[in-house]
Amino acid sequence: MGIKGTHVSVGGVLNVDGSMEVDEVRVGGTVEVKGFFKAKKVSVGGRLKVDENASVEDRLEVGGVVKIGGELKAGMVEAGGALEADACFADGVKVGGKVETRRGCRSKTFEIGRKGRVIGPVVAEYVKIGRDASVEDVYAGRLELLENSSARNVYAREAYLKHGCRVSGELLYVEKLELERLTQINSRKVEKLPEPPV
Amino acid sequence: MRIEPRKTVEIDVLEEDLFVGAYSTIKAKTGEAIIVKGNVEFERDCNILSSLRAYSISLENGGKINVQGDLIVEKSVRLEDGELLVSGRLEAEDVDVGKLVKAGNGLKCRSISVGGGLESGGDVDAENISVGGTMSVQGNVKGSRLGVGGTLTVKGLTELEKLDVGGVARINGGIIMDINVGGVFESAGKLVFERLNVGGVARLKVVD
Repeated sequence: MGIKGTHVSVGGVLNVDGSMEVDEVRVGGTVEVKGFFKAKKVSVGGRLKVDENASVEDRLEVGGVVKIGGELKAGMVEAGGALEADACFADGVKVGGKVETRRGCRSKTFEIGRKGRVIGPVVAEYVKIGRDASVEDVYAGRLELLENSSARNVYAREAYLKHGCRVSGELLYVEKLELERLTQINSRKVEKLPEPPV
Repeated sequence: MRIEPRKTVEIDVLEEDLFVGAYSTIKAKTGEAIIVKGNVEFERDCNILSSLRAYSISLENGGKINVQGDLIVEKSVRLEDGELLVSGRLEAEDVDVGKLVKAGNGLKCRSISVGGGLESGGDVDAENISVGGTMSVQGNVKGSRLGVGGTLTVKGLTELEKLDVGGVARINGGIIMDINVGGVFESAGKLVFERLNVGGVARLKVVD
């Protein structure tokens, strides 16, 4: 392990040419870590970029963009702008703008903001897709698609779709489906949902 | 003993205090070192063409003390508004110099306070180090507290309890419990710390 510490507080930029293991990181601007990154609590005002895997035991808060070259494991993830990772495993994910994963994002709760975009599958107990947002495949316990949002495929125990929502593929549900007017879907009640990819 | 201004004097061992007049030169009569068992007081600039061992040294009116060898002082070195240039090693209990300290072969003391700059060609071993301007060390730094107002550069490893730098700190890794830097902090080697607090930019580089 290259850099090992307890508390890191930087007003502007933190640049780590190697791996880093710390308890708490607070940076006003940008954090770049060339290796892997392990922390308990992280707060970054601007951008967090990690070339390899990242693990944040408690809370990861980033005002702008989180970009992880490998896998992200975290407690709560909050990003105002975007989250990019090969895969994300977290207790909660709340992103304002865009979530992009190659293998998928698995969490207990998942929320994408208004006009947001989700690329890659989402697997969560509770999923909330903001107004005018779009998502690809969703595997949810409970799914809420807010007004005019869209999904490719939905596999949910319960699904609640506000008016104007679109599901371009299929919507399979087990227990309950609630649709508001002008909602266009191809839905089917099933006994068992397909296995999620992550 | 009293040396008149602008004189060159040879000394071997002196059991009493020594007063050295302005712009004098002193050197060892035999052997490599001058030994003064009392205090050495410099009036102004002085060239010492050998190593010097003394109980304490002081300079009241400013000037440059140039030692061509080691300077080993049992108690204190006090050069108010002065410069201390030691080609070899500097050792003392307490060092307080107004402008500049250069130690070609490193230094060891309990505390050192320099108003301007501190340059060491070797290791620095001091419990408390306080430098107003710039500190540059070619070797390792070992101590408890290090405070630098301007810029710190350490080529070797740094081992400290607390580091406070107002401007820029460039080190080569080590173990520092508490790091506070106002501007830029760079570490080019393996670094272990508890707290890192940087106002501007922190660059941590690891060569595995």
